[in-house]
Amino acid sequence: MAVDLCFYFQVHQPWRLRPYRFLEVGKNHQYFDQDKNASILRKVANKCYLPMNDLLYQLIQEHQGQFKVSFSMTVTALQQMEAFAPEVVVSFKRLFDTGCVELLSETSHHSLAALYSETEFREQVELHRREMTRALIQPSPVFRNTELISSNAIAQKVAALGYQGMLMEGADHILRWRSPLFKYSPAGAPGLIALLKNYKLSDDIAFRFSDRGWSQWPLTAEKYEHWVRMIDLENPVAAQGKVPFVGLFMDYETFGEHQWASTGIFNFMRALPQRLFSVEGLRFVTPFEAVQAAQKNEAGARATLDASSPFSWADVERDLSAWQGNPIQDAALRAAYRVEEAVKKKVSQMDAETGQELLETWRRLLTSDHFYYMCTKYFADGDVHKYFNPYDSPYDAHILYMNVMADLALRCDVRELGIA
Amino acid sequence: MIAGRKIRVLMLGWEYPPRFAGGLGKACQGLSQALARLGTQVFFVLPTFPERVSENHLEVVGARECLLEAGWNPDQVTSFSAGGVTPESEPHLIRLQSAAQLFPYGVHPEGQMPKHLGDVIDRMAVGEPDLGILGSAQTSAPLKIPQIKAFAEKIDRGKQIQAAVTTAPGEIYGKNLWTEIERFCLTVRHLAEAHEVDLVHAHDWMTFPAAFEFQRVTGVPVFLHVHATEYDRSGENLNHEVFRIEREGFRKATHIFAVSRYTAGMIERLYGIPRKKISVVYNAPEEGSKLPLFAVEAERKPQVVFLGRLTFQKGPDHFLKAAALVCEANREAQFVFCGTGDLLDQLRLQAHRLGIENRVHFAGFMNPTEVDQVLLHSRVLVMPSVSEPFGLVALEAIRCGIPVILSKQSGVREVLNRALQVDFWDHEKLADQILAALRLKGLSQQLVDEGMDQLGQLSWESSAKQVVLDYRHLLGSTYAQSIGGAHGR
Repeated sequence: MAVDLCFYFQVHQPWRLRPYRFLEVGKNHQYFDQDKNASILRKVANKCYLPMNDLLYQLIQEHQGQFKVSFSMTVTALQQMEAFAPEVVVSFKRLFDTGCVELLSETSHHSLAALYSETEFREQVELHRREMTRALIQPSPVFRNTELISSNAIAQKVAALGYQGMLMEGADHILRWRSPLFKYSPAGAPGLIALLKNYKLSDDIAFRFSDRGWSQWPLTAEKYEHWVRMIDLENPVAAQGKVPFVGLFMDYETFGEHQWASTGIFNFMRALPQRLFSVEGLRFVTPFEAVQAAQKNEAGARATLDASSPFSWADVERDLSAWQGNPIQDAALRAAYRVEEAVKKKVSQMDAETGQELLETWRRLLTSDHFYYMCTKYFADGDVHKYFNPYDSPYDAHILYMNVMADLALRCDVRELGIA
Repeated sequence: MIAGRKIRVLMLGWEYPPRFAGGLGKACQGLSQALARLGTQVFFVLPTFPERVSENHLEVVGARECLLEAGWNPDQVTSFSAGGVTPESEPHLIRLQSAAQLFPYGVHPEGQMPKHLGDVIDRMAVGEPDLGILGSAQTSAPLKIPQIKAFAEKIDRGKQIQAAVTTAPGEIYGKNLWTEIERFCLTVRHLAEAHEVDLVHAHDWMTFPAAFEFQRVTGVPVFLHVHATEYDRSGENLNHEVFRIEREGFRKATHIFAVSRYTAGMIERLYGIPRKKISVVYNAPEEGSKLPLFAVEAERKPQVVFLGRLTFQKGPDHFLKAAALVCEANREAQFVFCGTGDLLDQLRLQAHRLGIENRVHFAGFMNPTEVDQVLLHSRVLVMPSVSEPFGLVALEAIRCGIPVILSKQSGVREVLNRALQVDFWDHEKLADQILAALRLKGLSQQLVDEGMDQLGQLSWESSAKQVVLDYRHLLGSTYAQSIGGAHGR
C-alpha cells in the first residue's frame, strides 16, 4: 500500500480583553489584558510549545528527514511569544530550519475577514507573510483560512491570490458520499488543490485521546498504526491508482494543554512515527508536497468540491455557528467591520507609528475568538466554548467587546456605531 | 405501604394567594396545585385564610376559620378574635402589611417565646419523639377527602386550645410572631385527631414546630420545604431561636426540599445536614399565567427595576450604588424600587447624597398587576440580593419581556443561566451590565429569547413529580427509621 500522512498543527493565541467598562469610553484606550495574556502564553509555552517542539525536533533528527510536520501560526500568537516568551520563537525557528517543517499561509489575526472584507483579508494575508518571513520562515503557497473556514467564494479568493493549495475540513455534509482521502478542487477554482482533514483520525488524537468513556481508550501507537493500515482496505483511492491523503489537522495546543502530559499524549507522539514507518509505502508529507504530488501526477483528474455556504472544522455542525448567528455575535461583527473604513482613514491621517498602533488594535479585535466567546450554543458541544472562554459568560464577552468598540469608534470619529 | 394508592399530604404554610406578600405564597400554591393534579391529596393549612380553596384533591383552609366554623364565637374566643382583613378597594389582593408582625421575612420575632412553643421546640431537639398514634397513617381504610366539618367537630371538643392561647382581642395574627406560631402549632396538633394523612410537608421555619407537634401525635414523617433560611433573611445577624428551630427541624425531618442547589448547599454547610437528605425542587413560573401583551418597544422607558423588599438581604443599596455609576454615563436612565421595607428612609437619603434623587423612584408595595405594568415599561430588572434562595421575580421579568441581572448569590441562576450575572458587591460591573442592557438591543433581545426558552423548561408539574418521587421513596423505605428520628442526629 501507499499512504501520505500530513500533520498540520495550528498555533494561535488571541489578545484577550481586560474588563473594560463603558464608563472608560473616551477616557482610556487600553483594551487588552496584559497579565492574563502573558500568563496564559507562558503556561501554554511550558506545557505545550517548548516540550512538543523539542519532541518534534528529536523525531525529525531520529528519522533523518523522513518525519515531517507543518504548522500554521498567527501573528497574534507570534507577537505574544515575542513579548512574553521569546525562547519559544527560537524553538520554532530551530524546527523550521530542519527543512522538514512547513509553515502555512493564513490571515495575520485569525480573523473572519474572508467573510466580511476582501480588502482586509488581502491585507492580513500579506501582513502574515511579512511577519512570518521576518521572524521564522517564508510561508508556503498553501493556505489555511481561520478555523478552516472555506467555501467556493473563499477558495476563489485564495486562488486569485496565487495560492496553489488550501486546507479544508473533510465535512460530511460537503463530501457526502465522497472520501476525504482524495484531493479535490473547489468549484470555481480548478487550479487550487483542496487538502481535506480526516476528522476521524484527527479527532481521535485531538479530542478523544484522554476520554476514558471512549471505547478505544487508551489509544496507543499500535492501535493507531492499525487504523492507518485499515485505510488501504476499503478505500477507492488506491483502486484508482492514487495515493490516499490522510490530513491530520489539529490545534497544536492539543499536546500538553488540551491533553495534559499526564494523559500520555507525548509518549504516544514519541512512539507514533516509528510505528507508522512499519507500514509499507507510508510517507509523511507536508501540505505543499501533497499539492505538488497532485499537480504532477493527478492533473485533470480531480473531482470538484462544491460548497456554496461556508463550512469549518468547529463543533459538530462544522459550520459558522461558533462565531456568528446569534444576535450578540452578529451585532459585534457588524460593529467590527463597520468601522474598517473609518479606522483606515484615521490611520492614514496619523503619523506612521500611532497609525500602525491604531490599525493593529483594531485588527486584534477582529480575531475570531472574540466572537467565539459570545457563542451561546451551551448545551452539547458548547462545553468546549465554556472551557475556552476567559470571561464570565457570552453576554459579558459581548458587553466587554461592545464597550471597547464604542471607544475605538469614538477615536475614529464614528458617532453612530449602528450596533442595535 | 402506600404503593398503588394516593398519598395524603398535610401541607403547612404561612402564605397562600391571594394572601401573600412574596414568592413563598406563590410557590406554595404552584406546588400544591400541581401535586393535586398529579393525584396527591393535599390538605393545606395556614394560620388564617378566609378565602378557603376547595378543589379536586386540594383544600386550603385557615386554622382560625376552622375554629370559627366550629361555632366558636370570636368575641368570646380571645385567641381567635376577628379582624378586618380584606380592604374593599382591592378584593383580589389582600395585603399583609396590616399584620406586619406576621410576616416573617426581614422582621425578627419580638418579645419572649411563649412557654408552650418553647416546649415544642425543646421536644424537637430531643432525639426521642413521642410516637403518638403511629398506626394512623398505615391504615388502609377508604380514603376520605379531608372534611372541614369533621375537623371542626373535633376541635370543638378540644377546648384546651382556648386555655393555651392568650392573645389579646383585635389581633389577627397574634401580638407577635411567636404567639402566632404557637397558636398554629396547637391548632394543627388537633388536626391530627380528625385526619388521616401519610405525611406532613411544612414550608419554612414558622410551620416547623406545628409539623413536629403533628408528628408527635400521629407519627407520620415530616418533610420540610426550605424557601429561605435564617442566613438568607438575616445574614450574620441571626436570630438564634429561629436558627435553632430550623436546625432542629432539619435534623429531625425525614427529608428536606430546598428551592435550589444554592440553598441545599447552605443547609448542608451551615446547619450540618447530610446532603443526601436534601432534594432540590425548583420553583416555576405561575401555572397558566397568560403572557401579558408585549409592550411596544417604543413604550419602554430607559427604566431599571428593583423588585423586592427593601431590606439588607435583597441588596437595594447595591442597586442604588450601581445606579449612581450608570447616571454618570447615561443621562436618561431611571431607577424604580418596587417594594417597601426597613431600608426605605435610608435609601431615600442615600439617593439624595448621591445626587440622583430625581432619577430614583420609590414606588412602594405593588400588586401583581401593577408590577407587570412596571416591568412592561422597563428595560431591565436587577436582582442584587446578598443571598437569594431562588428569586421568582427573575421569571416574572423574563415573562414581561425584559432581561434580568442576577446576583451570583442566588438560586434562580441554576435554572436561568442565560442571564447577566454579577456579584452583588461588584457595583462597577453591575453598572456596566445595566448600561449594556439599556443600550445594546441585540443583547437584551437575545437574553429575553433565551430566557423564555429556559422558562419553558420549568413547570410546577415536573417539580411536583420530583416531590412525589421523594414522598414515595421515603414513605416506602425509610418510614420506620425516620420515625425513630435517626436522621441527622
